[in-house]
Amino acid sequence: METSRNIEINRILFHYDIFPLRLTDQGNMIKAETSAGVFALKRKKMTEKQIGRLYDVYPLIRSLVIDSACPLPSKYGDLVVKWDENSYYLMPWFEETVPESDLRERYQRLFLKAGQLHRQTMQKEADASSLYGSAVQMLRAQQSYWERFFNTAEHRVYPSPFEQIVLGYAPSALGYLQRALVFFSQNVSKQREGESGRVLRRALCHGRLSPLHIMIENEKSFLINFEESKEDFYILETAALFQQASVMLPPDGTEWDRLFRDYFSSCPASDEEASFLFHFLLCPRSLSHLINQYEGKRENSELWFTKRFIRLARGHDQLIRELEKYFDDQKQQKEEQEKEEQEKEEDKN
Amino acid sequence: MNDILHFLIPALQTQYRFKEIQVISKNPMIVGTERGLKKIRFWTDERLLRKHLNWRRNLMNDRFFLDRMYVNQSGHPFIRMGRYSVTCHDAPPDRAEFSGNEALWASVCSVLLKRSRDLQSGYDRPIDLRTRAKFSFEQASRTGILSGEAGKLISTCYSPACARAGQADLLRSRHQRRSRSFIVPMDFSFRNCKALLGTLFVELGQCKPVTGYQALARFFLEQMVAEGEASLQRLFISLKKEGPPDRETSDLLRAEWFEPKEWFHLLTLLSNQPESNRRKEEIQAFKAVWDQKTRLINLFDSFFSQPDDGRKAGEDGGNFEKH
Repeated sequence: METSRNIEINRILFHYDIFPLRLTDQGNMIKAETSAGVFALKRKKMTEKQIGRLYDVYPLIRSLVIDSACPLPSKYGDLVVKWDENSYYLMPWFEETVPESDLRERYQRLFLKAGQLHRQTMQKEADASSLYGSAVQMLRAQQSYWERFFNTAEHRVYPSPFEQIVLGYAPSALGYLQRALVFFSQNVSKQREGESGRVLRRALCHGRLSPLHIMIENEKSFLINFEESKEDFYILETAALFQQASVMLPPDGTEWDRLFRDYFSSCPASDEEASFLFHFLLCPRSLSHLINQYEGKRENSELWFTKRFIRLARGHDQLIRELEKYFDDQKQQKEEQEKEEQEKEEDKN
Repeated sequence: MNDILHFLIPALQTQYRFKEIQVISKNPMIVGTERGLKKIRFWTDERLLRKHLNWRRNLMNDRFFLDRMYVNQSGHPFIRMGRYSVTCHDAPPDRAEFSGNEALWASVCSVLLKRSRDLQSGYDRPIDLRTRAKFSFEQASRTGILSGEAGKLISTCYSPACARAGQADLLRSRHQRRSRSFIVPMDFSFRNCKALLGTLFVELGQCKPVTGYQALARFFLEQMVAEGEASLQRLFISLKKEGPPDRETSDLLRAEWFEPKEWFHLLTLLSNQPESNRRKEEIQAFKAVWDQKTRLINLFDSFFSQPDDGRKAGEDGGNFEKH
């Protein structure tokens, strides 16, 4: 490692009274082998806000509310050490047993950990009326965006292969958007008519849930990188996680049912949250993003965009189908359970 | 103090997780541990300790190390032992060199000048130096001690010393109001800074805050004497890049150098010991300080002159080397 870099790292480690026997630079992560153990020193640019968020989360982790790996405090009690525009934090070194490329296993663990994080930090219900209002606005914007694209593509003499594929998907996309819009609009209308406002629960949201932000060592797994965490309506983070998984995991062979069970067994959703989640996910955001890329700086080939759209569309369709099936099954099970209980009650009487 | 020493070592071991610990010195208390030397400080005034904790927090920066308190295993920055609050600090052994580290020293000065500030009720020293000079000189004249080489020197320099005293009075009179002035702990000295991992380690002491211009002016003067004008010039270049000192700092540093302390000192020596075997050395010391201060003020003004600074040092007293 360069001498100047080495000096800087030694300066940081001085804050922890750690004297390295060996340093291995792995990009933004430095492995420090010391007589006191092996540590991971993470280097990144962090804003004061991000550092503040780490300090907010740290007490929850220390009190074992969240099972996660958090920065170790320096000898002065700092979680983050700043030096020459970089921020550093120290963590125990994990010998990861699941490679970064094994997305299936990583998402499996991530769904479970995300559910635990949300459940353990769950707050009371809070008014979410504005969230429903924002959803309506977002869906209308998405609807007009798709319609504009279809309109332009339809009027071309020779639509490109990508445009042809998107046109073929038009009924599904518009159908999803319409269904979501009806749900959110109805809720907003009910509210205007004087019905009580919609409520959803808030919890600590990680802010950057990703298969790379979980450390897995054999049976243990820990969430890391809490610098974007904040309290919010947790179902929004759940939706973002599900959507991310639908993009990242292969459309064929993904055991969605197992993923949903892992998440919801750790963090059961209320009926209202389940409806919100399902309808929020109907909007094909990843596809809109791809179209946006296609219309903007097109950095990949036509073929790449076409293949990508087909893959994402399949992923999205599968997510929606599987989630709907999961909620239907859950509903059915609940009804059967209630019926059984009712029958037992009647038998007793 | 001795009564708590029995309990101190086990407490430090437990609270700060030291495996090995042995007392190297008792005053100041330095202990050797498997994690290096540590300084242990004893505080009797918890309010002052808390002030120091905030003070250090304000001075945290990414250019040099600051002498901060370790947190104990519960995350607190001190442990209570009887009537004492005990804190644990780093104690790097190597003295910091000035020459070659001017940019780092400039960072230290800049950070302290910008962030080590608190409300001070005006300049806490007598400001009528000119009257004091006049009174002391007249008294010495009456007692007839101004004969001999030292006495003649005092008489020759009376007028420039008065001018310098007047200049110091004028500069200080501009800053009599309550303001957030530059402060340092009373036991702070730039000479206590240590070298650590290619940068500086600044010890902040544990005394109550006092105005810091005197310590800074003394530091610049000592470095000029020890390392020469070129080295101080390099520090001023770096300091200018970091942001030049504000008007108050500039005025009060210059006032420290204008104040003819060396003249008063020589006069006091004459009054107390009219005859002395060391008189020649005392005269040389007086001339050297007088000249260094003249050069220092000129150097400082060439970098940080403020509008309406008044007369330059050379005009007030001249330079012995030229004579």
